[in-house]
Amino acid sequence: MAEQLTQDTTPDTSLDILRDLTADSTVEVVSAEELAAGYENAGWLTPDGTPPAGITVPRNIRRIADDPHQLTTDHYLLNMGPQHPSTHGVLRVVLELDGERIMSSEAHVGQLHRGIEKLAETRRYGQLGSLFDRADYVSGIHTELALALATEELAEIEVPARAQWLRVLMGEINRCASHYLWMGPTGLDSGAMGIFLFMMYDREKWLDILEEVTGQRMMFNYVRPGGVIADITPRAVQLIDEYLAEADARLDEHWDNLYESEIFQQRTQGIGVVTKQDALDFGASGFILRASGVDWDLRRDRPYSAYDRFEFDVMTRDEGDIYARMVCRLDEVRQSHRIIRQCLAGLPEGDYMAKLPKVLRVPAGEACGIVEGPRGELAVHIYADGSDKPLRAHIRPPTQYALNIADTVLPGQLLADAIVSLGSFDFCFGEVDR
Amino acid sequence: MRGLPTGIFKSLRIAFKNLFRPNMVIQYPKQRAIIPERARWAVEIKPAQDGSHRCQACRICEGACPHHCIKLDITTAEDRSKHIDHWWFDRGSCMMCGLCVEACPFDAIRMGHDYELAHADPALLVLDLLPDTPAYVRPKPARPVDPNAGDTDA
Repeated sequence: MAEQLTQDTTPDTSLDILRDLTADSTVEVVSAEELAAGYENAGWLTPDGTPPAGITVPRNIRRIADDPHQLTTDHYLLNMGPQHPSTHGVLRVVLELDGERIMSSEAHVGQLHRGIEKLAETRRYGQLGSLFDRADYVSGIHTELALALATEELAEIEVPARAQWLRVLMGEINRCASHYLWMGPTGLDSGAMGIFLFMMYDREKWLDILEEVTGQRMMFNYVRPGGVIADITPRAVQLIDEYLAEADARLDEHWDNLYESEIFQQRTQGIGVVTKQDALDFGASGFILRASGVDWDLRRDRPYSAYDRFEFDVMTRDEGDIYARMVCRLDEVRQSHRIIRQCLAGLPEGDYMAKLPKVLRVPAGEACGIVEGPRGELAVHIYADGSDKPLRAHIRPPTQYALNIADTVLPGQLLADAIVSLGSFDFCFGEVDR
Repeated sequence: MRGLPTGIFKSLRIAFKNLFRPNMVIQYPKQRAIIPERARWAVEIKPAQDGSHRCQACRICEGACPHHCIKLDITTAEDRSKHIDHWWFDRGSCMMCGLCVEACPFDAIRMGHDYELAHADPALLVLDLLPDTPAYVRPKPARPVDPNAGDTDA
C-alpha cells in the first residue's frame, strides 16, 4: 500500500482523502505550499544532503522514514537513446527518473553529424543544392529555396515569375508530405496504429507528384539559384487534380479517426505544454509558436518568392499542448491545399530558369535566405568571397531551437508521455546535427 | 472521460469503409510501380539513333560530379583523336543528383531507371560504362559541291 502510493502523484483537491488513507502508514501528505517551504522539509534529500537536480514539480506525497536512505527510492538515470547509431534521426536523452516520473532531462545531439556546413565550402554554388537536401531530408525543397534566396540576393539574379510560382507550388506540396510524416507517427507514438498507414497514403500521393516533377522523392535538387531546373508536366497537373479532389475529405476523415478519439485526446491534451513565453524565449518558430498562441508566419508577414500573391490563413491555437500542435498542423495542410489550388489556377507563362553562366561566381558579401519551412523558420546564411564557392555556409535549423524547449517541458511528465512529447516537436536530426 | 466514447465508433466506421476501398499496395517483385520519365537513378550511356554512344571524352561530367564518382581514363593519340579506355562510374557513391547529365554538352549520358542497385559485393558497384571505345567523333558535314566551280576556270 505504502509503496503504491508513493509512486503516484495526486492533485491537491484530494489531499484530505489521501491524508485519511495514509494516517497510519509511513507516508505523509503535504500540499504544494508546504513543499515550497524547502526541499529539506520534503524528505527529498539525496544521500549527501543536497536536493537532487532538476526538481521543480510540487509533490503531494512524501515519505517519512527513520533512515532517509531506506525508504526513498534513489533517482536513477535512464539513457533513452538510439538503439543503433546508423538509424535515421537519432537523439540521445538522458533522463533523471524518480519511479516513472521525469525529474530532469538532457538531450545529446550530434550522432548524425556529417559536416554539411564544412563540405559546403568545397562545393560550387550549383552543387550545393544536392548537399543541403541532406540537411533537412524531409523537406528538401525548403532548404534549397533558402539557399537559392541567399545566393540570388548576393548575385542579384532576377528570377522569372513562373519559377517563383513553381517554387511555391512544390514547397507547399513538400510541406504537406512533411506534415503527414509527422502527424501519422505522432499517432503511432500515442498508440494509434492505423492512422499512420492512412496518412502514409496521402504522403505517398504527394511524393509521387514530387517525383514526377523533380525526379526524386526526397533528395530533389530542384530549386537552384535562378529558378528551378524543370517545368511542371501535364501528368503532374493531372495527378495533383486527382488527389486534390479527395484531399479535403481525407483530412476530415483523419480528423474523425484520430483527433476525435478519446484515447488520443487523453494522451495529448494538457501534455507537453509550451507556454507562449517559453516559445518566444527559446526562439521557437513555426507550428510550435503558432500552437502556443503567437500569430506569426513568415509566408504572410515577410513574404518571399511569390507568397504575397496567395490567399491563405495562418492557423493558431492557444493551448500549446501536443493536441494543439496536431490541430495546428492539420489546419496548415488544409491551407496548403488552398495555395496549391491557387497555384495551378494562376501559374504564369514564361521561363522557369534565369539565364546564368555555367559556373556561377558570386560577388563578395554575405546574405541570408529565410523561409518558413514545415518545422519553422529555416535560414541559410552564405558568406561569399567572390569565388565560385562559398567561404562559409550556415544553416539555421528550426528544430534545434525546439530541442532546447524539450528540456523544460519534459520534467514532471511520466516516462510514457516523454515519447509523444518529444515526438510532438518534430525534430529532424538531419538538420539539427547537419 | 466526458460522455460516451464516440470516437471509437468513428474509427470503426472508417476502418469498415476502408475494407471496400481498392488496394493501394504494390506487390513489389510481381508488380512494378510506374516510374516517371524524369526519375533519377543510376547513370547510363544514352545511345544515339544508331545505337552508338556520343561521348566525346571532354570530361565535363567528371568536374560536375560533387562526389567524384565518375572517372574517365582517356588516351590521346598523335593525331589528337581520343580513345576512352574506361568510363568508370561508381554506383555506390553516386547520389543521383543529375548534375553530370545537366552538364553534358553532347547529351551522351542520362539518368537511368534501374532502381535495383543492391549488390552483395561492393566491387560490383563500380561499373565500366564504355570499355575500350574510341571517342565519338562528330562527322564533318559534307560540303555541297559548287556546280559552277569548274566553269570559272574554263
